[in-house]
Amino acid sequence: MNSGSANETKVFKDWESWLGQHAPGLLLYARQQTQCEADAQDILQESVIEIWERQQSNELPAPALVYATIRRRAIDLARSRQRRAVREATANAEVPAAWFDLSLEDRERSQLIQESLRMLPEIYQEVVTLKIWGGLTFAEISTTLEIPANTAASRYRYGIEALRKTTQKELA
Amino acid sequence: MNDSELEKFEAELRNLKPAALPGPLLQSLVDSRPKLENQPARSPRLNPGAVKTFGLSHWLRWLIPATAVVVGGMIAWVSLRSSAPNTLKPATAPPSERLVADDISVERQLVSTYDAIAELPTGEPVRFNCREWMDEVNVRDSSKGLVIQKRIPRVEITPVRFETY
Repeated sequence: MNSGSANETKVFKDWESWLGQHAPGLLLYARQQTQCEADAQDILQESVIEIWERQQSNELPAPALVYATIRRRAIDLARSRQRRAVREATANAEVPAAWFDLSLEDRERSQLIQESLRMLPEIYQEVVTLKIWGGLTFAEISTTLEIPANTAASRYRYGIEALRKTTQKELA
Repeated sequence: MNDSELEKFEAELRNLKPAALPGPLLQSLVDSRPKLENQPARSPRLNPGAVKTFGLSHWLRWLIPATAVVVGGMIAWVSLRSSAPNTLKPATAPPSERLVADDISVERQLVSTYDAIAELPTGEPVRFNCREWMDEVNVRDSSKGLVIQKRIPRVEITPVRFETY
């Protein structure tokens, strides 16, 4: 094996590792930002390809950049949909995909948190998602959502508290 | 909620793993990584569609400035051509200085008249009455004091039968 193919193999393994680490969180965020599963998967794939194209190097993309691209593409998609009522009716008819791994023992709790998270206002939902499952810092969240870092922190705190209240209320 | 409760709840949330990607989507993302072989670091290849887009954008990057230069050159050339006659021919009368005729007259003056006799191939005599006219056309522009005069000679020949004569 020459050095080129060895390097290629390394990049391949790094890329698979990167996907294993970040792709589930990215898909979770894409699902929250879109109205149906197909849109979420399309936007995730398009965003990753766009980042590769823009990056012009073989370095692995920064997750914050991919999250920001997903958000921008989701906004563009929502704007491009002219018949909003039809889209929402279609989305409501569709069974939503599971946001979390349901193979865990506490399946009911996973579903409860998903529903609680879904009921949160979007501005809190996205900050909590980016922080907890995206692993972004408040500075990165600030860049991704184009809001001040202090706003991101306060939204996170409020979102976590609201989420906890909702889950405790349901479990009580 | 105090800080410890917050941290505990955060830890609980972090234990909740996002759902794994569907197999086809994961495979598609794995395949979307750039290839290293035959490709420098600055231009990653993703798939044939991406390569096509890169090629097109590469050409457009050169085509657009080149088109701008050509169009700019044509505009400059046309403007130079249109401005050159004005500088080279200042004596050319502008439209407001054209001749405006306020009187046009055509006069006919009989210069001479005479008769002529000829014979047809059959021997029959033929008589002609010939008249020489001078037609004169006068065009006047009183505001500028201009008179244009044109004189044209004209011959009028009329056959006359002997019986009529």
